[in-house]
Amino acid sequence: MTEYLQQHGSTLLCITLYVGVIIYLNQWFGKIAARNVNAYYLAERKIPGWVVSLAFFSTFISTSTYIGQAGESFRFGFSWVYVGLIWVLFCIISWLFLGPRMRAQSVRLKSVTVPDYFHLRYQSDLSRVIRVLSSLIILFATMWYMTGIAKGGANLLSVVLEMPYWLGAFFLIFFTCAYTVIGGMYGVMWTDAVQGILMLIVAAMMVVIPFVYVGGWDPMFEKLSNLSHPGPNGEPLGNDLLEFGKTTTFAYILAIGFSIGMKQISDPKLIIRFYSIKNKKDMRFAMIWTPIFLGLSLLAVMSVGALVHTMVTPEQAIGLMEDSDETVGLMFKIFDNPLLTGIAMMGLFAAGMSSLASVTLIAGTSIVKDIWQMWKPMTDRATVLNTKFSMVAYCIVVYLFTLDPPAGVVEMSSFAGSVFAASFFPTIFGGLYFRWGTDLGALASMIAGMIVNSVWRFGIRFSVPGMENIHEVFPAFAISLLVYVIVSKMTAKRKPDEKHLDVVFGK
Amino acid sequence: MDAYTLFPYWFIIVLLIVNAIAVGRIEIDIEDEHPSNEQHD
Repeated sequence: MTEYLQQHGSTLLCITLYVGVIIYLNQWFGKIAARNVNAYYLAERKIPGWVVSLAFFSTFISTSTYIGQAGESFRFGFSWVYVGLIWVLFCIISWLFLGPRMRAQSVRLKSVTVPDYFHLRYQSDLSRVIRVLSSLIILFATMWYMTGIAKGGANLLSVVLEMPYWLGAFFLIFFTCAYTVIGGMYGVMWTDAVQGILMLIVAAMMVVIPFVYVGGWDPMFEKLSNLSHPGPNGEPLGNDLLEFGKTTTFAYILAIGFSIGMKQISDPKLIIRFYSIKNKKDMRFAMIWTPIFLGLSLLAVMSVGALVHTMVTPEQAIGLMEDSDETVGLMFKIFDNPLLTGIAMMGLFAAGMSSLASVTLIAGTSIVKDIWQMWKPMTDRATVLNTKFSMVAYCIVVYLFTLDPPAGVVEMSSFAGSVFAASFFPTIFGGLYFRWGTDLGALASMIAGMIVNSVWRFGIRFSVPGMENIHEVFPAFAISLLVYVIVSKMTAKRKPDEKHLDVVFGK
Repeated sequence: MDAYTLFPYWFIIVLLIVNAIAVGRIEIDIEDEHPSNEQHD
């Protein structure tokens, strides 16, 4: 015990400090959030731009990025930064084309969740079905995503603190669940902002550590240009990590870049951020600064794995090639600086928890506001209370999945992203921009997106030779978009009346 | 590092600068005043 505390005392101290700050913040905001549904679900649309900006960044970026993606560059080299470039592009698209319109229309329609936006925007006898179906899709995709994040965090705890995997997963999921239940959207937003600042600091730290370890820029690139570690094909890497496409294919970069990056234009946990922004000035701030926070951190994080090659032995490299999710944990273990490890652990926890908290809240609001209330109307007080219970129940199910995860961190996260992109983007974008979009177009595109995603992933991608690198996001997104346009045009008579559309579009 | 591998490093920086300039110039169409948060279903 004494030996364990000597070895891990600083890390444990940093984590305790972090946990303390998060509890304090959520207790403080919990009192305000408990007032009513709008406070608990949307923070009363009173959140400043810098907070929303950091919250969007920290919610989109998760342990999956700081552990999984950073680890992937151990296998795929510096070419992996292209994934970061694609994500930054989608971040800019999201804030330019969805942010202001979503904020404006959600106010006009008095929408408080993404599924209820679909209900109110497409207004018809089918819009309740669209609302319930979109909530079920959220719950399905979210399960994959949360399992991925919890797996990444639990792996890290087991490497750095020698904590059993099941205990690490338990701590991560239920601590996050507890503070989300207390603080609601107010707590989640402000906690996310604090976590975002911490994540920016840790991104910078992660990229500097390998350089300090090997003694600077020149020794780093000298080592990287002549690596004896075996690459993905078993041959020595040489300078392959520095050359584009030598250790991975552009198709795989595009697959991960698009499937995860597109979450920014379709994932309800990110889209809901637009709802809470305070005013025009704050919107402009967030439109400029969110891509900056994301871009700078990704330039660092996406390069880390490749740099770690200079810190590990050939035996360790073989292990990391097989399970690159352990790259970052091993880097801190080798660097062996308890204080830096402690700070990094806070940042990595922040990355996981900020995303977990946002998804937990989205799952709870979907269950209660968009499914349960469709059958049983309830008071504001009962809605908030039931949302809290639903979040706890959902986290228990996620924990059970995490004990035996079905895939790697990056793959689980990218599958969830692909489901959101294909099932929601046409309905969101069409809702925001096209007066001709209809309820049947929305419903058909959601169903098509879900079906193509699942069939491609579970029936084609890994069963048909040569299809492995064609990610489900491409066929699913293309078909879903096409279905939205064709079905909407074919059912033009079902579009909402002009009076309603004038309210939606503010004319 | 070859030119293709270096490309995303400088291109991300260029994108961020262009985006900041563009956002500074566009008109943003949202209401500044605080909406009433009354529910509607």
